[in-house]
Amino acid sequence: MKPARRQMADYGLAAALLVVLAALMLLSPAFRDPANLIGIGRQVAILGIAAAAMTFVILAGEIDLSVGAVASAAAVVTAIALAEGYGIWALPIGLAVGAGFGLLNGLLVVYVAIPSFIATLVSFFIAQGVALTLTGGRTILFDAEWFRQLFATGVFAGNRAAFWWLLAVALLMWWLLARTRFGANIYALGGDAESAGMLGLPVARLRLAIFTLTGALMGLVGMILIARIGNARADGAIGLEFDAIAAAVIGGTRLGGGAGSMPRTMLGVALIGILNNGLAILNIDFNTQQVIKGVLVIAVVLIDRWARGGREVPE
Amino acid sequence: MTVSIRFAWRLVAAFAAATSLMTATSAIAQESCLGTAEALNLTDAQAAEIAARDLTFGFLTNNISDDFSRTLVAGAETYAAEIGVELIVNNADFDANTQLSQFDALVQRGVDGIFLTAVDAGSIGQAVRRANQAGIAVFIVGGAPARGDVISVMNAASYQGSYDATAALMAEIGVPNAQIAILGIPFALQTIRDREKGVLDAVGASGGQIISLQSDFSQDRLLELAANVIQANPDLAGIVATWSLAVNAATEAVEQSGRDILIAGYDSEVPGYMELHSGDTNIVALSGQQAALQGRAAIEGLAQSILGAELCEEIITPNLLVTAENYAEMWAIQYPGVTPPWAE
Repeated sequence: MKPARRQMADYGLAAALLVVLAALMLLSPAFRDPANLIGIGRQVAILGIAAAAMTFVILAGEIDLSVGAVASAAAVVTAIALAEGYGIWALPIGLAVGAGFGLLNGLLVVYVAIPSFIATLVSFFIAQGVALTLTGGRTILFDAEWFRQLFATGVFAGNRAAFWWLLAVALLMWWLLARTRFGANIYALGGDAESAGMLGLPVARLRLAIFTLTGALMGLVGMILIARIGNARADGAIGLEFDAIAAAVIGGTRLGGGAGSMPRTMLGVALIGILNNGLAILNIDFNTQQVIKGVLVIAVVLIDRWARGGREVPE
Repeated sequence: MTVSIRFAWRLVAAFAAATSLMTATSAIAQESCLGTAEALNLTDAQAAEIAARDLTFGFLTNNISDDFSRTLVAGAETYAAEIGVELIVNNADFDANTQLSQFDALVQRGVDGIFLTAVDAGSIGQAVRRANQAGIAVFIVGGAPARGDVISVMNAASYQGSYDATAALMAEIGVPNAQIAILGIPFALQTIRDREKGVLDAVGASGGQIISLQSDFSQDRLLELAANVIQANPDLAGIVATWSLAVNAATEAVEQSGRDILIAGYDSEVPGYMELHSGDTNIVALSGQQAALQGRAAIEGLAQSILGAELCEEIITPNLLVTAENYAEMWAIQYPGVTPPWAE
C-alpha cells in the first residue's frame, strides 16, 4: 500500500470528521460557539455507550437487536423504583434488569444455539412487552433530582454528567478490548469461532460475558435517558440498536466480526453527533437531514474502505 | 359562429345550474347528517335498543403507548360496557401489516362494526372494502382510507387547537417580531399539517416570525433539537411544540438552558399537566384533544349507523385549551374518572 493511502487508511475517518466539523464551523457561528461544541458530548452520550457495547458484540461475530428495548425496559423499571421511593436501590435494580436481559440473550445463544439475530429479537419483544405492561402505555414521572444530576444534568468540570459517563464507558471498553486477554479473546472469537474453540478459548463464557455486559450497559443507558428527559416511556429508546450498529460500522467495525476498534467507533459516534447538531442548527428540515446524513456517511465509509484497500481496521 | 357561442353559453349556464343544485343538495344532506360528537349521543330508547341487539364491535388502535390512544380506548370501553356492546380491542403497535391481519380477523368473525385509528390509512383500503362487502360499518379516526367506504372520519380540531394555543403564547410574549421555533413530528399526516398551519397563522397574525422548524420521533432527539435551537438563537422568545413528546422535550430544554422562553403545545398529557400544576412553568397553554370523548363518540357513531342514521363525512371534536388557571377543570373533562397525577 502506498504511504499516502496508508495514512488515509489510518487517519481518513478522523480527517473526514475534521472536514465536516470545519465546514459546519464556517457555515454557522452558533455551531462554533464553544458551549455548543461542548454540548455535543452530552448529546451523543446515549448513542456512544450503546455503540461501544455494540462494538463488543459485533467484534465477537454476533449482533444484538434488543439494546433499544432493553434500555427502555431498564428505564421504565428504574423510573418506577424511583417513583416508589426506592432511592439509591433504583440503580442496581435498573442495571440488573439490563444485565438480566443480556444474560438471557447469552443463554439463548450459547445453550439453546439460537443465532444471536433471532435470540436478541426474542428479547426485544419480551423487553418491550414488559415495559408496556409496567407502564400501561403511560408516561412514568419521578421526582429525584439527585438521580438526574448524577446521570445527566449535573455539571462536572465544565460538562454535563452524561458526557462523563460516556467518557468513562468508552475508556473502560477501550482498555478491556485493547489491553486485556478478554479483549484479545473477543477478536479471536469474531475472527474464527471454530478455531478459537479448538485453541481452548472459553467461547461459551466469552459470549455470555459479552451479552451480559451489553445488557448491563443498556441498563446504564436507560438511566441516563430518563435522567436526561425527566420521565420514562415504554418506547423511550426503541430504534437505538440501528444507530448503534451504524456508528460501529461507520467506525470500520466489520459486521462479520474480528475487526474494529473502540476509538474508531467513537469517531463514528462523533460524526453522527456533529451532523445531527450542525444540521439542526442550520435549520435543515428532518427529511433533508436524513438524506444529507446518509450521503455523507456512505461517502466517509467508501473513502475509508478505498484507503484501506481491503486492510482491516487496526486494533 | 353565433350559434356556437350560444351553445357554449347554454352549456356553461347548464353546468352552473347543475353545480348549484348539487351544492344545495349536498348542503341539505349535510344538515340532515350527524356531524358533531353531541349529535351522536344516543337517547335512552336508542341505547336500550342497542343493548337488546347484543352487538359486537371491533376497535383497532394503532398503538397504546401514548396517553391519547390509552384514553381513546378507555373512553370506548367504558361507553361500550355502559350500553351492553361487546368491544374487542386489538393493538397494532404501529405495524400496518399487523393491523391488516387484525382487521381481516374482525371481518371474518362477523363483528357488527369496526372503529380504528389506522397505522396507515393508505394501506387499510382493501380491508375496508372487504368490510363493506360483508356489510360491516367502519368508522375511522384520522384520515379517510384510500379505498372503501367509511361511515365517517373523526378528527380533533387540529388547526383551531394549535392556533388557539399559539395565539395564547403570542399574547403572553406580547412583543412584535417575536422569534418562534416549532418543534414537531415528521409525519406526513393531514392532522400534523393542520397543526403546523395553525401555528404559522397564529404567529403571522400577531406579527411574529418562525425562525426554525425541527422535528423527530424520539423525545431524547427532540430534546437535543430544542437545545440546539435555543443555543443557536439568542433572541428566541417562544417554542410551539406540536405533539406530546415535543412538549416534554421543549419544557426540559428550556429549563436546562435557564432562559426565559415561553412554550405552547399541542397535546396535554400527564407531564404537561404536572408542569402546569407545579406553578413554576414556562408553558403558557396546551391544546388537549378529547380522546375519551372521541372513544365514546366512535361507539355512538357505529350504533347510530346501525340504527339507520347518517353520519356526516367528517366529525370534528373540539380541543380544550389547558392553562395554569384551568388545568384541574380541564383534566376532569379530558380524562374523566381518572385520578389527577397531582392527587395520587
